[in-house]
Amino acid sequence: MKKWSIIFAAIALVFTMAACSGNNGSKEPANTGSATKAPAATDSPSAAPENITLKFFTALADRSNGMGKIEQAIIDSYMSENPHVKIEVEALQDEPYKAKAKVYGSTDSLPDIIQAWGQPSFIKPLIDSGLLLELNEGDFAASCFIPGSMDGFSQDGKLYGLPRNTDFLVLYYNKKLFDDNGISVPATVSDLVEAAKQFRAKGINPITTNAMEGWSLPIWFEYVAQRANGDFNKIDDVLNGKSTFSGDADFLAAAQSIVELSEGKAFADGFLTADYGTSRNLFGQGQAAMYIMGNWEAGLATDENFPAEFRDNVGAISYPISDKGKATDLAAWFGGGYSISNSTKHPEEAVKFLQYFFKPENWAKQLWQTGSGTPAQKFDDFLTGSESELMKQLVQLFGATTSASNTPFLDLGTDEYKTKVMEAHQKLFGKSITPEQFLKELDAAVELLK
Amino acid sequence: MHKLLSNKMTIFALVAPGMFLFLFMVCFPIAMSAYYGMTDWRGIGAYQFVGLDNYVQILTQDKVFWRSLLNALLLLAATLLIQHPIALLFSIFVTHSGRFEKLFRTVFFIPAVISIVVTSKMWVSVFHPNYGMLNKVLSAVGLESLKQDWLGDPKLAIWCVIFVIMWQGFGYALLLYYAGLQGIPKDLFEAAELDGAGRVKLYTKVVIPLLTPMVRVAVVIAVTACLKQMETIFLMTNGGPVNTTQFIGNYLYKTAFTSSLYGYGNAISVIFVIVCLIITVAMNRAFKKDVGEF
Repeated sequence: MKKWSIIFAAIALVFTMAACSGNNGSKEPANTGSATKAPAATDSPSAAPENITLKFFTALADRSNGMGKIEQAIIDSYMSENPHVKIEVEALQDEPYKAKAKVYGSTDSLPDIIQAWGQPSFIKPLIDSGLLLELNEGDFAASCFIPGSMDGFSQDGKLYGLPRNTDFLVLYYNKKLFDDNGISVPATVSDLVEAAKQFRAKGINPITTNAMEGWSLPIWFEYVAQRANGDFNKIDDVLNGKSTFSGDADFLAAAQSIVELSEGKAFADGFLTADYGTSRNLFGQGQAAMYIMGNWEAGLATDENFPAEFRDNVGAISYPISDKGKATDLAAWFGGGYSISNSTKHPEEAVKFLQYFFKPENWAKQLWQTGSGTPAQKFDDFLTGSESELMKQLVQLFGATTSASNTPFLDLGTDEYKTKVMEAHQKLFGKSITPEQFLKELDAAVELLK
Repeated sequence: MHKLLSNKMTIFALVAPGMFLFLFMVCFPIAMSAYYGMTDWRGIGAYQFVGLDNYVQILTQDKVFWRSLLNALLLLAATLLIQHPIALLFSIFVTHSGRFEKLFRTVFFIPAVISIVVTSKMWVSVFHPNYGMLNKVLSAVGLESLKQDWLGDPKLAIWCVIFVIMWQGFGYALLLYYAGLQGIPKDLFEAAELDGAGRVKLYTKVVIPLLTPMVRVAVVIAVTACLKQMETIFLMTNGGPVNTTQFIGNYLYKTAFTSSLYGYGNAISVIFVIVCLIITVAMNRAFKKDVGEF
């Protein structure tokens, strides 16, 4: 009998060790799927508020600069005003963020408040699976969101998230490099090709962007296509099945003009392997003359990591024009924002926090006045007059918009479609396929959506 | 005691936990993967059973998959034909470097100790076409014409990446051979010398044949490392430009998490497991021949 007890002890030991490593997955409380209480916008705090913790999952990984810093500051001040609420922040870079959000989604363990993008590629699967809490638009009336900015976060007339930013793609340029080399800032598409050739001849990288991640390329192509056909909506027509990319002379011309840029060596060395940080640095350190990126990089003019000579000389223009596309036709959309998980145990508190977050004097004011981006709320009250030259140019650009592209077309579908679209662009920009093949690949990607 | 240990119940009881762990941690997940590989699951929401469609598509239409496999084999060939001979040579050199032995041993092993994130990012900077050290050095010594966009050129990128992976793994290969050399009894050297063997003969006829068991270990490790390669690729190029430096591990990750094709990603992983099994069996066959004892 004694020997048996030894064996059992040994077995028990093995099993307890197995248990230690095996039970990570099932800690999450079962989602009861309880009906979501529409939170009333009552301000009166209850007598003795119980301590609660909200998990906050964001894609602003840099917590000490730009938008991440503001986000953190608002969270901190909310916690000090509401000592019973503790907000735990988890922050990851865009791509890892999206990957992890999917894991959270598929295991039904979304954090209470998550960053969301009002674009079908991100938010539609979450809404369709009932993972997001329906919000009441009236609760946020005081935040003065720009009309239309909530559309991306809505489905079937219900609101599932709130927009944080207004985004648009511009061409940043380094005035000093242009002046020093006697090159004029390109006004038209053909000027751009010419300017690129001149920079190349002087041994300077003409244009850079984050082609390794790849999402800026399709938006760039939207510009090029618009300049070729005069209408941002033609791409939407293709996605809606009304036409195709191949066989359209204007899309072909657009793809050819990208090839023309490529043949003129307009793209910086290492173009396809430059990620966000690399391309931004290349431009900021004066190694590239132009940078295709969103308006959220307004902070380039104040970033102490770059030499003053650069900061004082950075400017932004709309994409060069053609006889069909004007400078006021802008590739603009509403980007990131926040949603609340449907399985949160504290929906009222989460909504209260978002109400606080989106108070005009919080997010909108701080975002604008630090030059970290453009809010999706009204912010005219917060213009100080002391904005950097770059910020003024960006406001002017946006204010003059006559037509906008809306949600970038790569985000109007599934992730598989998005990857295919980005890869097709990387191939085109890297000259490994012809414009005709490129359009065929885009059509094949669109085919996936049917 | 003997009676107890030869009891079938005892054997079962002792083996069961290990078997159970193996089944639960290895076989079960693979079976789950195989099942999910037959669905069109996108990670969130409902999915449908699609039979073997994913597998057929990978094997017949997915060029990136085959390119990834080819890259793994290229890396394997480079590791076995370039890295290992050099590592062996250096380990012999280190053994004979007298009072510098410790120093060299440490120096060569340093790359293996530093985090892969650090070394990968370091090499990305070295290869950078504008401010990278490599191009700077080339122009400094007047070899402007050799300057390249090292990681951006689809033809060159894979070789640069292979070079970096070999560099990262060099320390381990060297250490293995070095340890093997230490294990060879000194009297064999003396005996060979007495028999009139020169330096070259000593190594080609005595030492290297005796190292065979260590070579086997090193090769097995190299094969697994090459097939599994993911982190350096992920950090350096993420498979780009246009999937020319793609490896299966990274492709699998990209498919499942960037394109949200979990079903398809699972199918890739199952095929990957099968490929690994085939290579393992082939390797075991090749290594069956025994070497002499010493």
